[in-house]
Amino acid sequence: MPIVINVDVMLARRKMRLNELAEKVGITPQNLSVLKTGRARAIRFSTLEKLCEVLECQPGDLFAFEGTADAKKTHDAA
Amino acid sequence: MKAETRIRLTRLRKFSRVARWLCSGFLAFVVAISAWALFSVLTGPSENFFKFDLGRIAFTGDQIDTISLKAWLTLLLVVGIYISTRMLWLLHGLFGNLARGEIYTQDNVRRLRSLGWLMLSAACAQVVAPVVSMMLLAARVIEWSQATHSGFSYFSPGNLAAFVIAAIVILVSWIMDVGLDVSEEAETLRRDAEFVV
Repeated sequence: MPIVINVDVMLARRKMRLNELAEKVGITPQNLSVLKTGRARAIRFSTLEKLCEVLECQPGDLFAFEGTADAKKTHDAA
Repeated sequence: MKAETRIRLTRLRKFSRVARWLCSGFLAFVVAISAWALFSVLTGPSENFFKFDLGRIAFTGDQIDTISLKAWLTLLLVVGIYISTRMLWLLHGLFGNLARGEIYTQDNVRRLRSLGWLMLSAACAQVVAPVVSMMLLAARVIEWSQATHSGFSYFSPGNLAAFVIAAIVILVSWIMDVGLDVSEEAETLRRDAEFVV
């Protein structure tokens, strides 16, 4: 998937476990695992807001875009 | 699933179970009576309660006295038996699927569509058979000792109703086909929703 999830990077920086983060955000550890492993199809803004609040970061710290070569060329041209 | 939908589904399943039993009964009856009718035609002339109605001409069991007439009536009987038994068999399977709660399936769409085309064939046969019979009698291809060349009506309001019903069944099968696609899309969306965090 072109969108890379960096939740585990932020977890390591904040020295937090997955279960703890899930409890603070208010979703199940299974759901958070779905996000962490890149199997999620969509994320609610409310969930994103809670993640950023708990991990004290920006949305851009949690996601990165690694598109195809064509997409990169278009981006560089712009 | 909403409670109201669940109630309607239960009602449909109960009805389908009963209808399936009725279809089985009708199928057995049609097979038995058809076998007897075929036997009567092939071994006639004989006194029996059968009366073969082709528009204005009606043949009773004791009037089937020529080989050509027997051959023609046998052909018509075989076509009629095939259409009626196939329709009952398709209905039997359809009600079986509905009784199990399988509504929007490719099998049901196929069965409904086949039913519609069979009903259309039956409606066409109802119009064509008397016309062709009269033509064959007039041309003396079929010999019948008691032929009367009276006029005949080959299209009645009953025939029109048969065509309309057949068209409606075919239309319903198309609608169900669309419903099947929508149902599959909804199922895909539901599965995707499980991966919304």
